[in-house]
Amino acid sequence: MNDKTAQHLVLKVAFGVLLGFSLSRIGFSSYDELHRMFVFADWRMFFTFAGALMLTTLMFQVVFRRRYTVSRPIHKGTVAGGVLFGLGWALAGGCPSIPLVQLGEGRVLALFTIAGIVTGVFAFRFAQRNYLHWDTGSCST
Amino acid sequence: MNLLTQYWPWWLGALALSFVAVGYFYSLGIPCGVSGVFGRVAGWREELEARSTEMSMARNAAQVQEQMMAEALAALQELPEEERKQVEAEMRAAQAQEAASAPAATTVVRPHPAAHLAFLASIAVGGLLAALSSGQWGLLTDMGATYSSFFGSGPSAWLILFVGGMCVGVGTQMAGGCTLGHGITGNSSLQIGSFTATAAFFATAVVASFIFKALL
Repeated sequence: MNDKTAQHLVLKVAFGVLLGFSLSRIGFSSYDELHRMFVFADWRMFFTFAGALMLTTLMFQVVFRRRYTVSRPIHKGTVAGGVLFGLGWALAGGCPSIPLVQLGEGRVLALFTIAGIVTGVFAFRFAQRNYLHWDTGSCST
Repeated sequence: MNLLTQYWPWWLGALALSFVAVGYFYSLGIPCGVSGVFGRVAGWREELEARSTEMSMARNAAQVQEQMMAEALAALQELPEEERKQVEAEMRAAQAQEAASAPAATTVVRPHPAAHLAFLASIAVGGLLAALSSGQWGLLTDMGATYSSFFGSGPSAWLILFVGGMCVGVGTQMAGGCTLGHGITGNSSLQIGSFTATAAFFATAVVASFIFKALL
């Protein structure tokens, strides 16, 4: 392992811990809070998301002047995938990092959600490789 | 207000999430997203192969450049010693400048998939630290009152978690992003695909939640 690999790993882990901690303290990992957001009983987490989006947009568009942009065109899977993900989110409370946070918090049932996500990821990769061959533009590195 | 035990106000959560998204992208040079990391862990072997290809390409690129330089210098043999040295210095400087201005678009090597796995594990560690610091850590065998009231407890509730997880797994890979990858990173880059995906998953989750609330 060279210096750059080690630095990369340390940064990744640091951001991962911060992300998990924040998601937990915001309440995204609580199904109760999440459901209250989705039925508009509580706007706090909507504002959290909207605020994070506005701040990040400001940083990327103004401060860094588009130096860090990604390309996300619409493709065959955009709407269908979004709908499936939304349904899964409402059912299991998991945008993919959430069950990891829940597991850390001691909610052992999150293992079922994680198993489901891993199965789903493998299933889509299998379908993609053998039948679909869509260009979905992978999410990140 | 105790920030370790109570839910954060919206502005603090927004600051934290934005810091992660911007800091991750800024320091690592890659857009922040969790579903992509899941995909890369799932594709462990392909990732390793692609990584070793990229590493040998990066090595080759350096070798090819050295070779071109040597050939160019050999062609300058007739020039007087001093002039040759000057030309060589100029060529080296140009090479260094090129390397600095294009941060290795050709020589970037993807991280080892173990780094992605470590990232996923560290998210869980973050949750653990949050629960410990709030004094609320404990083994829980439910998902909260709302979840139990909808889907009960026991095997039926576990099955719903698994099925929901599968929807998330397939959906995020299909859409090419999740709440973070599309919702924050993609939207902040003003990408039409991310606007569409975000609208689709938020709208679906809202409609589904109202249906659960009405029927279950």
